[in-house]
Amino acid sequence: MEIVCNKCNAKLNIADDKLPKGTAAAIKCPKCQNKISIDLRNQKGKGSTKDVAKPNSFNFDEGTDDYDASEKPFDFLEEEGNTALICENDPEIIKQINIVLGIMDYSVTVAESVRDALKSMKYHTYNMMLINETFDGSDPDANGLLVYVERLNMDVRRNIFVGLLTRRYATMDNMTAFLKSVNITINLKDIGSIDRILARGVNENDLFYAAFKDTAKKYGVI
Amino acid sequence: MNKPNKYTCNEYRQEMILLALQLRLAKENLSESEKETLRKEIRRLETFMEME
Repeated sequence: MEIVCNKCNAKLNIADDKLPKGTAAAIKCPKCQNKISIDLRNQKGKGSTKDVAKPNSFNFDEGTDDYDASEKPFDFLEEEGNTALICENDPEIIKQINIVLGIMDYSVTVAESVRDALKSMKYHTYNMMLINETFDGSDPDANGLLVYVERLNMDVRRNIFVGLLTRRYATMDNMTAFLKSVNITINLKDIGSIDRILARGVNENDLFYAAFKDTAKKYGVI
Repeated sequence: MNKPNKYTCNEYRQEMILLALQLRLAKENLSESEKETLRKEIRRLETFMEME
């Protein structure tokens, strides 16, 4: 849900799953400190919204429901600015990905743990997530972050390009990507070519959704 | 029982698998045993997806 401050017009992008259902809540605008009231009982608020709230069925522990501006990954983003979340433990790989994403004009957050990643996603829907299947000591077949992504509502999920960093599967293995609910698989031995891999993956994803998004825009759904 | 109003990657994956099975079943030159296996799998999936 996009919430616009009625005082300074700053935009807060909060995933629908993170909003309390059927209740009223107040958040402080991080830019001007104005108090924005949101009443989700009638899905209308004093701050204007462009979407409606969806049922909250997410069970991961992301901390308390209280708004804490320090947990927001970005203070200010240009309207068209893309954002990416890196969930990887190897500093060398993070460095390489960071350089590539910088060139691709992404504002980047590097998560230190699964909990940290979930916190970052509490107030922001990223355009891209790159997740190592063993991130934060996870079992690659039961990675909590991947389960979270798998359970996202499709209206949120389709706006995130998710890349799985792996040592088990080939790069751009479409069947594995389908089974793992990610958009692309990237074998870490190909990390030197991640610029071309990501560019191709993002382009293909944009093409795949182009007709859908154009139609949705035309009918005012997004 | 009401189904939860949530459409995720899991539901999408099930739909795609069901579609692929139906396409395979529509192909010619399948033996009766292959057809029966496909029909069984389609029924199982449809039950799981609460389509019946």
